Amino acid sequence: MIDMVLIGNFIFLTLKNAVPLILATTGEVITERSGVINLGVEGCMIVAALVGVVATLLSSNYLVGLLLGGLVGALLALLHGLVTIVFGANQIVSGIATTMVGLGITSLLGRGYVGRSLLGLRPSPLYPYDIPLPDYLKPLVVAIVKQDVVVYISIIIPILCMWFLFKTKLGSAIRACGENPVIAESLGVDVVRTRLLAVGLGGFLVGLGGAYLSLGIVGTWVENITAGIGWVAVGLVAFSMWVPLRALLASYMMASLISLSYMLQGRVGISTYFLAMIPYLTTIAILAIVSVERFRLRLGAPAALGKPYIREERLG
Amino acid sequence: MFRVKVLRRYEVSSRFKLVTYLTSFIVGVFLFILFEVLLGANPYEVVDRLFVRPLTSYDDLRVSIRYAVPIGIIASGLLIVYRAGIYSIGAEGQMAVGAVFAAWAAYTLSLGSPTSVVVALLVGVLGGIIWGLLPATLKALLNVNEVLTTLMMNFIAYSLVDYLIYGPWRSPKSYGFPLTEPIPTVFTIPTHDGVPVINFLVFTLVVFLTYVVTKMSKLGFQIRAYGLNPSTAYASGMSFFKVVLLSFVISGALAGLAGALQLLSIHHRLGPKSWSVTEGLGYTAIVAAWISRLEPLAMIPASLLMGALVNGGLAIKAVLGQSEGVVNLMNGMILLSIVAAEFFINYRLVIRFR
Repeated sequence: MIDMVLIGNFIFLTLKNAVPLILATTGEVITERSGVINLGVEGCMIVAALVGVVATLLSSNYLVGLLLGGLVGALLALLHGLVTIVFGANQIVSGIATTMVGLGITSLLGRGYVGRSLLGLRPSPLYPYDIPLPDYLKPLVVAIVKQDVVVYISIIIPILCMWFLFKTKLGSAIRACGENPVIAESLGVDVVRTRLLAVGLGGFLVGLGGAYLSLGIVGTWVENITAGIGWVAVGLVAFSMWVPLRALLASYMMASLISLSYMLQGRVGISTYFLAMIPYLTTIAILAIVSVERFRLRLGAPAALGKPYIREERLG
Repeated sequence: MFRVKVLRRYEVSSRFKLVTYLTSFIVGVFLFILFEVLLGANPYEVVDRLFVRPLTSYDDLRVSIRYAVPIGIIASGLLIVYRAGIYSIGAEGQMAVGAVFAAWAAYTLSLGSPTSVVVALLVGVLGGIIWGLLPATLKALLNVNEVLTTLMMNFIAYSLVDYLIYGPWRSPKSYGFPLTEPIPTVFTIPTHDGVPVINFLVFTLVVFLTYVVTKMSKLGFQIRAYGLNPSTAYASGMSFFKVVLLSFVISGALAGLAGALQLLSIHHRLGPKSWSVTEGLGYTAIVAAWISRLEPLAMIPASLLMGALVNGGLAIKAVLGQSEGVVNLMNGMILLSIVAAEFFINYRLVIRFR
């Protein structure tokens, strides 16, 4: 007999755990499409997670917390943008430094907020709703219906980003900067401005994901709350081949594994500490798979990804 | 109105480079001090703790060296991978696993007095190498992004240490704390008045060896060639596989060595978070490697500087009741400003008024 409650629980957790991954991965897809790698995702997420909690405690309004979280995510990403786009610095080292700054600042400023718990986001108005369904299907429907609004919004965002990247003028300018900034510039695109915009926009989504992590999932501030989720999201970008809709699928795949590792705790004879390794091991595995695929299909990364572009001039 | 023009510099004197890097380092530290002052710290006290005391007071100098040695050993290895254009940030995990392996040797083997330390160090080195092998192989064979894989290996290493200290290796005599038994005295490396003299000698030997490898060996030349232009290096018949694998092995070995040295001479046991053998020094070493400008001999002043800053940062933390994040924040600020400095070395800005 299949335990429907258990399956319902699994679906519920997966949908919820996927939200930070979806938002962060989609945000990083937009950033990388412009030719900039932001390895500061982990740092942006954790700063947003703290700001989300503080803003929500002060304003008692979750929307304020989420939006301010997104905003500081964008600000920290723009610091990385300033160093790498304007100063043309090494994007990898700068991203690592951005993450260090994020982890350091939150550890310092977050001390007073450890354990200050919040009520958690309310389920959407769809719940409770008496649906005429057979009992064995109810846990499944409840798992989908009993989510907060952000869970549904997080599904729409990658679709919107698909439209933004592939159907709008700004989106194609961003992609042009990622493929060949010299040609983009000659066609009248301001590469520096476009890249900064893509980094800021991506950082905003990453920040939203970080704020949801503390507000929607954990329900309080904990030091090192992200525990590598931001890095996992950067790995998922390659797995989604820089396409927002695939980022959605990749995030659900990763979230289902994370939820599974939670649910297996205490149920099987594997130590919690080994179960905790699952997302990290999976990320390594999918990066390896993607690399094999990329060799075969020659598909993938924006051509100018990671390469600084500085418009030099002649004196005169 | 005025306009800013970006012009490339074609000839850059080494003195100008040095001045620019030093300025950027000072800017990074200044930003950190500014942040601390905004948090309510006394600026004089911060400067005193960061720069004056670690270099003038004997007690502080001892602690600075205690941090500087592992930072320098690890950063010497990182310098080699970075020279190859490989961005490994896995030293933290490799260091942790080096300590775990050395601890395993100390708990299970029974050997005579000098051999036991040497064997434990070698086992630690092996641990560091093993932990780097998976990212190294994936990079060498499939060109898998090493930043992410090495970082994932760090998280996995943390989980492994947690498993051991909360599980099979937890000491029944540690009053409920997740700590392992102290290693047998035969395996400990003595310190002299708190100064890890032997470790420091190992460090100078490591600096000498990295100098030989990077400046005088064929491998060092090939590593540099790959770092500067991978396609030219490949076209001239150099083996990518060999360069990646060997540079990873060297950096893993040195990180493992540092972990084993810290365990045998200072910590004597494994523990969680702030009691851990690594103390986050594997990340600080990244900053030291970039400060040295990837020059082996510059590693001695660079690691002493970072050791002093870690010591000073932790002192500020204790005085102001802050958290370990102090060191992370300082590292990040310094690293950001020294990578941004590259711009001012390669380009100059001309402001034209009209």
